[in-house]
Amino acid sequence: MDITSYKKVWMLCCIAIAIMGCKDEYPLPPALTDKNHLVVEGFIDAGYDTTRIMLSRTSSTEGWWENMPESGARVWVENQNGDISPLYEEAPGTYKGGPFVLDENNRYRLQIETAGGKSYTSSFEEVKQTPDIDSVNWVREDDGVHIYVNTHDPSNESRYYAWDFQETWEFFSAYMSSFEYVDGRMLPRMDAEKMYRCWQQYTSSAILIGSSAKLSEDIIYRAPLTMIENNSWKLSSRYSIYVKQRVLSKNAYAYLEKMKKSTESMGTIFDPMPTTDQGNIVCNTDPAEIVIGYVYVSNVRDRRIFISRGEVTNWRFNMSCTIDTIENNAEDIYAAFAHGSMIPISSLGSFTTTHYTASSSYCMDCTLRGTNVKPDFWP
Amino acid sequence: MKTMRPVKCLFAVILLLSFVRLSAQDLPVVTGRFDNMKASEFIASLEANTGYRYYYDTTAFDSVRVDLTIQNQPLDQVLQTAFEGTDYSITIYKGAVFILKTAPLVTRLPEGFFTGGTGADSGASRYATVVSFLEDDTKSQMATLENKLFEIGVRTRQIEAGVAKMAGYIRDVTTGEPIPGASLFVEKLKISVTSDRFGYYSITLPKGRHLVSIQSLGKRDTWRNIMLYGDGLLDIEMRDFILSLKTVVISAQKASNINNMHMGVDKVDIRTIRQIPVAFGEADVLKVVQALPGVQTVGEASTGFNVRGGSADQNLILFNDATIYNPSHFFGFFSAFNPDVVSSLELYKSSIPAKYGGRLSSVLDIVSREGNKKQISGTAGVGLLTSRLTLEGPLIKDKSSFIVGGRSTYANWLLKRLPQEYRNSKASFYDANLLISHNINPKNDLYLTGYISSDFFNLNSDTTYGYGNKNISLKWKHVFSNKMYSLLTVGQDHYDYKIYSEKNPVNAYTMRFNIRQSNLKLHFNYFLNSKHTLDFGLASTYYQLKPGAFTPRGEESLVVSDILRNEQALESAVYLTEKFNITPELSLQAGIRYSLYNFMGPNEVYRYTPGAPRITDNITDTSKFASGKFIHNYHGPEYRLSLRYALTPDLSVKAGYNSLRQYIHMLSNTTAIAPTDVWKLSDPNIRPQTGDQFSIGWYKNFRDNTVEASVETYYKRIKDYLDFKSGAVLVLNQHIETDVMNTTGKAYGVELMVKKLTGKLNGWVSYTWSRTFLKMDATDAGDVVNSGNYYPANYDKPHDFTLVGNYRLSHRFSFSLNTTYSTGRPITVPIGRYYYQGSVRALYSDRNAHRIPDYFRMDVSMNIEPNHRLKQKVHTSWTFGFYNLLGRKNPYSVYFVSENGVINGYRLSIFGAAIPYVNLNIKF
Repeated sequence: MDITSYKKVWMLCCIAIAIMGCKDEYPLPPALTDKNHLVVEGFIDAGYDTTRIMLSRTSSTEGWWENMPESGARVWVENQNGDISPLYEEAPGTYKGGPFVLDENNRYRLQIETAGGKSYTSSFEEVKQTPDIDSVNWVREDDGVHIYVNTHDPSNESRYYAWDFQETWEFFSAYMSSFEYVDGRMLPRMDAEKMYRCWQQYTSSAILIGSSAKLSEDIIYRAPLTMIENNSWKLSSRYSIYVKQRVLSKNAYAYLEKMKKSTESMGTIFDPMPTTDQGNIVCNTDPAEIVIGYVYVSNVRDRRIFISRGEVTNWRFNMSCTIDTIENNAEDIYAAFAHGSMIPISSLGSFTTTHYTASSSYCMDCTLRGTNVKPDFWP
Repeated sequence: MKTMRPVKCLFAVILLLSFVRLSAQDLPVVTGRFDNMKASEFIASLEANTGYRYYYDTTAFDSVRVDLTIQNQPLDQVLQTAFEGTDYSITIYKGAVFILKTAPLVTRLPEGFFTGGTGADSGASRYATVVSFLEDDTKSQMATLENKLFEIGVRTRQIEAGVAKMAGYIRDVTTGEPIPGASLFVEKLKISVTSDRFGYYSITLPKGRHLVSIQSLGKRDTWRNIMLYGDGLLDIEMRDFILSLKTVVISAQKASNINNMHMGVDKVDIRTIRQIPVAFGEADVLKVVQALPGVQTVGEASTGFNVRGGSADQNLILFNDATIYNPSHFFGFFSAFNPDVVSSLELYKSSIPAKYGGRLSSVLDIVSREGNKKQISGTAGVGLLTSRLTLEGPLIKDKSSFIVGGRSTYANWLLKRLPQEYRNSKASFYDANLLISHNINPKNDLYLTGYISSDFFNLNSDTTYGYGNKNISLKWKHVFSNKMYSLLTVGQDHYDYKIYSEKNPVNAYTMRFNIRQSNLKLHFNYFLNSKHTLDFGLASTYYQLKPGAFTPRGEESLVVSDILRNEQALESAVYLTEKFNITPELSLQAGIRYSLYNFMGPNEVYRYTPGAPRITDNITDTSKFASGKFIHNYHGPEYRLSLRYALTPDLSVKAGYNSLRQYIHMLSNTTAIAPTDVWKLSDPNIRPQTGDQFSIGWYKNFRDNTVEASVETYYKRIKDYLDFKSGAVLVLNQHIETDVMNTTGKAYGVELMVKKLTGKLNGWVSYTWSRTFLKMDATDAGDVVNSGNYYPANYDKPHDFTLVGNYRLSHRFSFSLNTTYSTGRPITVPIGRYYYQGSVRALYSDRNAHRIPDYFRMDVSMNIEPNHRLKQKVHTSWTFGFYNLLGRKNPYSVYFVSENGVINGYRLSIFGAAIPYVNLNIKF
């Protein structure tokens, strides 16, 4: 800003005030106990989609994370009349069924019988009808582009919402390659586009919930979904977000809210004590056994939007790629291109090629950072 | 020939002589003829012949002439003859002759003096009957008040048997301010008293001569020679302790820790508080409290402190008798007390006087100064983040005085310079004090205390937090007689907080909480006799609580107002304490307090199925109560006992038992006290907390009582403390009893402390070993924490070491060093992992099963005091220092979060580097 040394003195003090002054990494302490509780994720789809329930086990804190799917279980949906709809294991730990036709006036629950012979039952849940997403909008702010979701329910009955989203963005290599090195020779590149235009995806990993329970009308106004940080490559060309919305029961909301607090929102000065809570699934033989997860009954509404870089004011994106020139002799060309560390851009020279311009593969080959398969929904 | 020194001086010499045992005298023999000689010449000639020294008043001698012829007469005969017919008396003692216009001096102690008799029978000379309780006097003989003999009571020719009461005020000589907590004692008799917060003392002593020593922190030790004839008054003035380099005055009487009844009491005066280095340089009352043994905190940015295993809401924090609910500014980085207004603080950890009640763990009694009664003066302080200004002076000279003090911060512009992510942060606070004391007449005094504090901050989020205290109290002190005085206090204490968010206009809200208590206290102090002192009174507090109001903010807001029902309650207590000096070695203080609590209407109360878990499904009934109706009553006795036995003059043992009750609870599910924590009154579903403590301590003084050492141990039990269930909702909860659970606690520990308060090097070293465990009683519970087993409390830090030292290089320069080490506090860490909603997440189980790394910090500061020129109008002092000198990143917390699908662990430190600071104080 201005007088630097003067500022430094102040900065020292500021660090103290800035509560996040110092944050260092801290390893997960080795597990004191090695319990493996059952984790039940998913909901019973009340719309026209497939119901997917994922069963897994908790694992210790030691070593790399490895998913522990719970295979070989019997899983079915049951209503209050005792009618049963089974689910089948689609992949290890993933059980699928339906689409079921659910009766809005009935209540449904999930029954599980593990390969180990234990049986679990979730509580009966009402069928929730999700209203449409009104809009997904974005706002350019100082720190980036914030994306919000808006919805409302005129009947005032929904009140508790959950979202997840999938981001997809198109991006380009810094330069398009016109040549390729094949067996010591430089040939014109035929499928240059395949290295130049790519897509990448990211699926939300946070619990996104919102409630209008404290409001006079069932309106969700600008519930934050995500934020694209300044200079992010997500907006280097075109960006799309696909948002899915579900309505939760009050208890399901409370459960997810606790899980979010304990696993995502720590790190403030006034942290609550983290806990892991019992959801709505109980082990029939041992009610004290902790089972993680809350199975609710709801349907999904979705919405996709696109944002182009041009729509966002003042968006800067720089890949910081440099262009090198390689002399056109076998030795230099071999050294530069044979092992793929550099990729040629174009040739220089008026009659004969004296040099090739080139850049690093990272700058030239977008498939290193994504896929060149265009998604179906991409315009 | 000696000319006479001033009479006072002579008097002192005589006093000195009168304590020394006499031996038989062989007097010189005189021969000579003196014709109409001037008395002075006569004496001169005698002096030349006898080698004796003669003391007399030259001016008074002018008119006396001597006409005399003598032959081989002993000196006493000669003098008797020479001054026959005049009113001079002659005393000869060991080569010195005193010729005085008074009765002859006594050069011999009364009969039976050393055998313990009272000697009150022979009445020939008034001095012969004096019972003297003086020590061997080694004090230098100077013309000071200290060597003057004060006569107390109506002078009688003869000292009567029995005891008399002496009372008065101890004040500062320059400002006239009272000195609270000064100890006044007669070493010989092991009788000691302490001045109260008005500087008032009262002591009962056997009639006769006494040497009374007076000590107070930061003041020069002084003493008074008194002749106690009967009940009377003696005001005592003390001077500031101005350190001199060469002569280190060592006093033989610093034994108050040995002699007084209290155990587990720490007293710190503002001078010590100022020496302790703190972050940002402004003297901080609470940081000093946290450096005392037995006191712990969860971390740097925490408002509260924990005393001997008690939770933070179990401390009664009093500022001139007003309850301060939130004693901190800005997350606890600053204490809410302006150091320029504070005189001293006292922390009661174990033997809590019966006059205090309502909290389980401790009483922190912060006493303000009284204004300068002689002239207008002021202080100003400038620091990096805060500034303060205090003005004081007489309203009516020598009768009434005022202090007005204010403090404010200007951190906002600093926050603006922070990196982007914090640039929108705002923080501000202020506090203001008004103190007025008025001396209506010698028997009546009035004291008015007003206090207000306010905090606002927003750390780059949508949400702004604000909180504040408001207190006012009026105190009337009435002295009935030397034996009894009363104190009537009325006041109101107020605490509120507010949170608002207006970024999202639809969800914009304001959330408020407030608590108000109106107090009435009537206290009597009755000094029955030298063996018994009584202390009794009654206290009543009316609580009005607004537990939460959630309201829309702005016109677009759709928020529906959610306002919890107001709560009100009345807490009353009567108490009686007796201090009984059984023998000089053994004394007992026994107190009882009986408290009665009424939870009052209007309100609604839920009833739950007995024996079933308290969940909303088990609500059987809702009862409505009308305004003013007593919905539920709790009452019970509280016992306060302490016993002292002095094994030797510098070694004593004390033991104590205390029980307490608490009717108001703070609900917090955060580790540090958050500004959003709410208080809750006991109601039919929430029982009062109770606790008791056994303690025993050894106190030993070394090196002429300049070094005090103590070992205290305690065992404490807590019942019905409120801990929260997993995932509890504590704010805006209509049925809070479903989210909290009665918890039992136990705490024990040993506190070692060595303290040196005089000399060039002073300070203290303390080591504490302590444990605190909590356990949820599973009687009416759903899921209980740790399956109903004991788990360590958040502030359970077994080892704690503190060194607070100050070394004076000269009058004006001193260095302070503060070192703290403690075991890391317990935290709840993941014991496993699971995958849910797109991310690996942490699995938690037993609460507080792990510890964060240990804490170690060292701070230094250099203090430059003003010069001591009294005439100079403005005195400035500087403090430079480094907080966290070693730049150690002490963890405040360790936490684990799921980010982008994986669990990351972090260690959060509040101070990541050494924090330099400078502070300027101006006194005018």
